[in-house]
Amino acid sequence: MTLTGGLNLTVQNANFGGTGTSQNPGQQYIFVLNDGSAGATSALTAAKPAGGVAAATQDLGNGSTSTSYATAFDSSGNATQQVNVISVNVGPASGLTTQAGQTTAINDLVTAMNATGFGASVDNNNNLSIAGNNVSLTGAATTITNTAVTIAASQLTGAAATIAAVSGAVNKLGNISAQLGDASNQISGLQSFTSSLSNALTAGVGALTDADLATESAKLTSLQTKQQLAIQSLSIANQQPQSLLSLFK
Amino acid sequence: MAYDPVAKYQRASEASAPPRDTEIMAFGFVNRLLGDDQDARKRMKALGKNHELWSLLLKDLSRSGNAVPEGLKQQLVSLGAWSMHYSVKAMCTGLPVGPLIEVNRNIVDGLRAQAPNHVPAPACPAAAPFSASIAV
Repeated sequence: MTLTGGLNLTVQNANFGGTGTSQNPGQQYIFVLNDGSAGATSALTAAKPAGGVAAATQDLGNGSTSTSYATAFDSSGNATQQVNVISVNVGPASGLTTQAGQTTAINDLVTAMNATGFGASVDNNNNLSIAGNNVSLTGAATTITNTAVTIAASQLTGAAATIAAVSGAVNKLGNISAQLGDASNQISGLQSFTSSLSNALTAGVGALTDADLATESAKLTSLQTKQQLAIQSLSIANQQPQSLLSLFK
Repeated sequence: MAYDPVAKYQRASEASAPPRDTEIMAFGFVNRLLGDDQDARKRMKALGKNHELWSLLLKDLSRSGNAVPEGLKQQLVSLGAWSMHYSVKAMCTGLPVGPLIEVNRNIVDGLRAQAPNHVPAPACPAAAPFSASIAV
């Protein structure tokens, strides 16, 4: 775990050194405190690995995003090393000049770490604890330079590490389920649109139809229709019979 | 004029397969999809095709030149509206597709009764409405 330039926090797991496999790829997480300043923007650009293939961008909420880059591959083309660049939105740069603003920034960082799957927390003395996400820390006390706030990083052990890891996983799941919820809302909207379209169509054909058949009456009506059809010599769609062929595409 | 293989195929099919046989095949095709709904993706596709089939039929039925007698037209439109509603509902809930298949089968039976001895040539490999293994 390293902290550079007062803006970047880098965390990586034991596999990142080159021993990663496609099942258990080496992961590096670079958290960039993005206050919208030019310095933060160039730090964000610098964090992107050269030659990395952008795989996925995830919205972490609160304006923060995480982008994954695959940087090494096995013979089958599966990624064995991944760099995840996390842009942590900490609001305008002016806020960071005060102690309160810096504390808020650290809380934003912890929120983003939790959304990424870490169990991260800060105590009243600004001690940052990190666990989970298969990360092995060599916890050294670290200082954010250029600010008055000191973060002492420590590695959790035993039950505390497990609890933090599980709560990190729960946070990540919560984040994913929020995205699922969004998609599901979109589908519901589409469903209600299609339903109103059917309703409009039914209304358009006029009052001659019974638009709201129950399943049992539909079955009964279809039996009557069967008898009626049998004594005809007509197709149902006799105006544009070829239109049905589009169905087989 | 640009070469349009789909239009050409449609003209050729129209010349060779009577419209009623196309309808029988279309219902058979949709029922085969509906009968094979063990995974969510296939189920969605089958329900979508059922919705599409009925919407095509309803569109034609609502044209002024459609020669289907009023009473029968009324029944078909009611069934179509029901089938489309039911398809959309089934996409989002676990409603069984059995009733859709049963209604479609009744329509096919009615159409086939018009020409009891006629067996149409299959227009595409996916449509095999007369196979014994397929619930039509």
